[in-house]
Amino acid sequence: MKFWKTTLRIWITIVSLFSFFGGWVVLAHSPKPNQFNPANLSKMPVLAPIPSLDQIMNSQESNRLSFNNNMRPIRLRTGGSG
Amino acid sequence: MRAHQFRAMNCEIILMAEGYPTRTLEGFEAAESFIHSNEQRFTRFSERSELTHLNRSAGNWFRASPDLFEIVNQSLHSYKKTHGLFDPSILPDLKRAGYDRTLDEVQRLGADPQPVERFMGRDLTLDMIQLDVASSSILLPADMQIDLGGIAKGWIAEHAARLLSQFAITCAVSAGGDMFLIGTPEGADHWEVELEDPRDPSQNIITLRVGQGAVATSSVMKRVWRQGTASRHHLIDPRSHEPVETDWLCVTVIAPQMQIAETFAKAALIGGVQFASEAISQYPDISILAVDKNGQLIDMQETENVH
Repeated sequence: MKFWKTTLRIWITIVSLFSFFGGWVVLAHSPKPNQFNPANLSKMPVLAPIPSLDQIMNSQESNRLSFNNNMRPIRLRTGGSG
Repeated sequence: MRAHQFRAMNCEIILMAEGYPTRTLEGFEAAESFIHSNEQRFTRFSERSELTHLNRSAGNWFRASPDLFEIVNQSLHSYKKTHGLFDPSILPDLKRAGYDRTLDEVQRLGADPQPVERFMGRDLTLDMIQLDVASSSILLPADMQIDLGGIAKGWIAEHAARLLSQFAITCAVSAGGDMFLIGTPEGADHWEVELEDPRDPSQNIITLRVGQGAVATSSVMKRVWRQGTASRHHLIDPRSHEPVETDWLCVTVIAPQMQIAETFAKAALIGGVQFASEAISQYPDISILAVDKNGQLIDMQETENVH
């Protein structure tokens, strides 16, 4: 009985060692990620600066004015159907 | 505040809205389309309108669209609330007064001379109309014809405003002075509505501060034409069957609902101070303002709406 227990322990030890080294070898030969090299970067386009909130609001205001550009400021009036 | 103006229902339509610009423009397009399409449904001047079909079917049950059914139902309620002063069944009298074509045509070509005798059919009253809710059907008594002009215009204005409000935070729809307001402009707790001087439309009598809700004005100085030597207008007194003669030139009503504002503006102009006083006491959430022939503003209720 003791013989079999000793044999099993040795077997597990050997298999574990071979699995570990086998994995090491596989990983050592696998493709590596590219190393970062600034020289390899493609040229990025220069983007326009992001407008400020004030500029956006002014742009909307100009849209509004162009929408009503042929009339005076509209006010609500009531006087009956006509 | 963005605005969009166009002509429909024989009057100037103004849409106003605050919100994200692109959405607001989408809302204007949707509301304008809604107004044009519904004008075609409820006008009495088109042979193909649903209202014309209803009038032609007088004496027989007519299966109506839910919208027409709702407006006719509202008319019946308004008729009862105003003791018959608001009465869409005066259409034969309106035609007899010369308003038998579009206003543009009547004003341009002149009205036909008035027939000597009024058609004396059996006495028809609006409460003779029968409604069947289950089938959305309407039975006009034989010989009855109705004109939904004002109340349909108000219904369209209110529904157009509700449609526009889906695209905007705050909005208003003004249809010939009858307007429905949703929300208030940014930074304000009210809208400013100018009340036109009926004697000189280029001038204002007062500026009203109005919250969310409806404003409607009826005036004997608008929709005016000549019939022979007589000057005529479109507000028929159902008691005399003639254009109403009143000391007031116009009445403006501010109310939570368009139907109420429209109904009481017309009824108060026809019924005068006595009806207006009764209306104020029965409906405390409405305000009634009248302008008399001297241009005097009469506030039927001490209200915070005037400044």
